[in-house]
Amino acid sequence: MKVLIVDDSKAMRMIVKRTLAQTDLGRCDVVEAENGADGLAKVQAEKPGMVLCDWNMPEMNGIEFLMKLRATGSQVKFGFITSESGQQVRDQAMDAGAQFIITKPFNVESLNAAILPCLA
Amino acid sequence: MNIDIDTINQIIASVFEEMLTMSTEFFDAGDAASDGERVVASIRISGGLEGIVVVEAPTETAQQIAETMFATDGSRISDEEVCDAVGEIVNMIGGNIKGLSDGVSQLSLPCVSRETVTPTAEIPLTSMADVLVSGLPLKVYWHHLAEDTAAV
Repeated sequence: MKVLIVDDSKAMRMIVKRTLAQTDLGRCDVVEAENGADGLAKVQAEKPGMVLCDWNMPEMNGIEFLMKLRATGSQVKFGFITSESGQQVRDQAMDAGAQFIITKPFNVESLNAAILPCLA
Repeated sequence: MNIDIDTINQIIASVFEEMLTMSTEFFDAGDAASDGERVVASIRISGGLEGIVVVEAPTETAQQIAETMFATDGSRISDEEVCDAVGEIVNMIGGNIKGLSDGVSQLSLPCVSRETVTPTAEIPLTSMADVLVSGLPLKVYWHHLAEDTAAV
């Protein structure tokens, strides 16, 4: 499976990529984007099977990205990995069509538990 | 809403230990001002909870955090990447503090700079955590500005 990691922090993209490789998904093709606008372009060009996305990003944030993505008809599996942890954020993410939301800090176990249903 | 220092310490420990497998040890450094160059990252919480979180990492600490996050040695880490790493630390701590509030709040993007002098505090300090991260010092400040109970 190809996975698109969208985060404005290069350090966090690196951590997500490294942690992802330790999950049941194992080593997979990873594509990176720095914000939602970049992410939209990468979804079109790279056709990932899953998107792992930050919430707070410059230019286009994660929820705007997800809403624009779903508006194009894309049903790609989409999960947030974010410092945002409130119920309002969780509800907003699910209403917009996210499969899961993981709060940072996260680890292999929490990432694995979140992505497993998306691998079925 | 009162956010005590123990809660902030738990968040800090969780960020470093759970995700970065870096040890944390909290101590009381008193009012001793930091000296030398530091990477200072801040993030604003606004809405139901109002406050500012500041992470102050001496250069060596910031470098070690970046090396851990990027899983590489110091020679391959750029100044921009060091700032990025410390910015992500304040982002995680700020996000978790924001999550303690029932009200609707927003989290800003982190702001990161290099400083050589301790800025004069223009806003009241609520809590300060002194922590050794893998044996290296780090300070975390929480400035609780106000709480809009109407938004809860």
